[in-house]
Amino acid sequence: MNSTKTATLSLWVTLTCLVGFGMFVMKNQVQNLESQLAGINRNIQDDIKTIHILKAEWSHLNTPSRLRSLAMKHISLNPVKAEQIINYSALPFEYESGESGRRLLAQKNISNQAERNKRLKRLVKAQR
Amino acid sequence: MLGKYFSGERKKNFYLPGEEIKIDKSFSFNNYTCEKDPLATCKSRVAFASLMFMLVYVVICGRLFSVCISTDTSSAKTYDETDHLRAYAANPIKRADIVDRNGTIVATSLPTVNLYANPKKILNAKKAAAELSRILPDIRYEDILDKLQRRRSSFVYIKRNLSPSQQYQINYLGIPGLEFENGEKRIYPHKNLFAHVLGNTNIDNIGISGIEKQLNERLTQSDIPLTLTIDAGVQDTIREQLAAAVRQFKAEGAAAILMDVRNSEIIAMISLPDYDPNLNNYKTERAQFNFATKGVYEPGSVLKIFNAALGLESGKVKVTDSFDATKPLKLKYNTIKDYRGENRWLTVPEILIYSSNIGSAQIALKVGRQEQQNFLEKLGFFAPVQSIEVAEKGHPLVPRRWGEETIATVGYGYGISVTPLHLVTAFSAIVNGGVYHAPTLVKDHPGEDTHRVVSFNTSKEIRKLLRGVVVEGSGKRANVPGYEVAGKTGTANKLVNGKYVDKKVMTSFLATFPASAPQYALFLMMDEPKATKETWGFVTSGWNTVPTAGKIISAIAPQLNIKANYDIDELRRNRIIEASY
Repeated sequence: MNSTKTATLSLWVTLTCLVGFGMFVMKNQVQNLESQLAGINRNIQDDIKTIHILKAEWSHLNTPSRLRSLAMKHISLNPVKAEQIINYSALPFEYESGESGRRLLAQKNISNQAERNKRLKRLVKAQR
Repeated sequence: MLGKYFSGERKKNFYLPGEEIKIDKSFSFNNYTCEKDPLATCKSRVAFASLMFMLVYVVICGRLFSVCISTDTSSAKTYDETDHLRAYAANPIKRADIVDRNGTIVATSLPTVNLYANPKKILNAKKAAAELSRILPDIRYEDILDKLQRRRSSFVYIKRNLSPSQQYQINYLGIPGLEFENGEKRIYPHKNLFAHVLGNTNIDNIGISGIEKQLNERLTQSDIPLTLTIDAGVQDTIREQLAAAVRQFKAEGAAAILMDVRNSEIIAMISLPDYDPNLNNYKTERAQFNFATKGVYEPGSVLKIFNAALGLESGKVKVTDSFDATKPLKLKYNTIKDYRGENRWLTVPEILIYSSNIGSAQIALKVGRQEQQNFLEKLGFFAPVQSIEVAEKGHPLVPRRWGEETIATVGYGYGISVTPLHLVTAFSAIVNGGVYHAPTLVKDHPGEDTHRVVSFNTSKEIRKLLRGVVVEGSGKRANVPGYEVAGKTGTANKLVNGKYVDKKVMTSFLATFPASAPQYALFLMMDEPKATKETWGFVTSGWNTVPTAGKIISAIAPQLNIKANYDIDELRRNRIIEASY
């Protein structure tokens, strides 16, 4: 056997071995990654399940009938009546056009009202 | 040298160890003379043998390659989960949630675990049954033993939907042949509230009623939540008020539908009595019956709305026309009377306000059979409402012969039986400007059936007439200030064994608000309400469904964000402002 033939053969053998080894290492890594992926997917699915259960519980705790009974127990509020909602224009205050003027007037009116209420309270006290 | 071994023991010559072997061409086995060179034979045999060995190695290499490197599909499929190598995690919950229009979950599936046994693998059935009945106290020992001793079958459910602690305990027993299976259980967090809208699923998670049945495919094919047009808050408010009314008037049942008149989306739909779909027992037949979509009944006077609309639309009747209601109307086989008649000539608004049967019959007779039938068909009264997404659909009962009597009786609401859903859909069409929309329970539903039933002007006239009924007629108790309620009451005697019974009535109320620009239509129905002290012994609609409707409207209108329109006087307004300080 001459030297060139030997060299070619050994080169091929080495290459085959290298490729085979490389393949093996890569395959091994892929397998590891795949098992990692499967694990992560399993965790995500568990999380989805947990979130799902928590959402169902949230919905259960937020049922209107439960909220109503809690509100009746803990807050002294009643359902809003139609009469309680009024337009700004329906207020018995002086009306002035322009945003700032309107706000100033409203403030003035409110303070006037508050003063009047105070006076009324004082009067009631005096009567007692 | 190999030649010696290949030629075997048949060789005659004997060689001493180390002796040179001479091969001559005349070499022979048993008088057989070999023509060829014996060395060549040996060479070919060696080549053959080494080829065989190489083949074995090639096969081994190939197998090694296939095991290590290539992941062909046949080996991947042996995994019990086919989605083992997915790049994303699949949703483990298979049946989609149902949410209301605000995203509140009204039906969902929870992951559970089912326990099943393979009786062929069970070694000691008695011991296993004893242990299982200890952990699962709700199943009898005998039942479990019976299941575990079915030697012929290899799969038998022991219990579905185990609790996590039960699963742990059974796993801890370590009995071979007991296995777990992932399952789902449908849960309705709002219990009774949506019983009839949503329906129910069976133990295998297949819809058996309501939306669950009708949209079973949609719910199983996609895991995107299904959005309904229902509003859970409004639904609860109405149910609460309706249940209170049922208790107060000791009614057999009741139904309510709230519909958006602009597109016929159903905001709330209730049928009482109802049941808790989370429980599998305690369901009476009546509780399972969805009256709102399946209950056909003679609606009585509420049909006068459609009769008046028909009269105005046909052009044969004008609002100012008056009809003779001084005496009962005599027909061939029948005499039409009024309930507490006015005994005078009545205009069209008065016919509605005093709910005159005589007047309505006269309007119907004036318009005629053909037009009446066409009109009712356009309103959808002759066929089940196909567009509704619940499985329970009521078939209207339409008279086969349509003579003069029928024209007259249909005019004031007898002789034809329809469901509450038919009524409220047709009513929405009449008041919303005259366009019929097919009713729906699902948001973003594809292609809807719309057609005009009456002109815009007729719709406006009818709204005015109905506002009159609430302001000065039988609907007074539903006149919620600020919301301009307009509507019509109806009290129909129940048909028992083919005879109308006086004491047993079905009372209905159809209302819309606000009348100037209608947004919602409310339908209320009560089955056999009883007279109480507060109603002065009356059982007509004006005394039970109307006040209930008033309460409901005043409670839901702020929830629905309807701007109140006031005509309250100065003094009262001041008082309110004083009170708010």
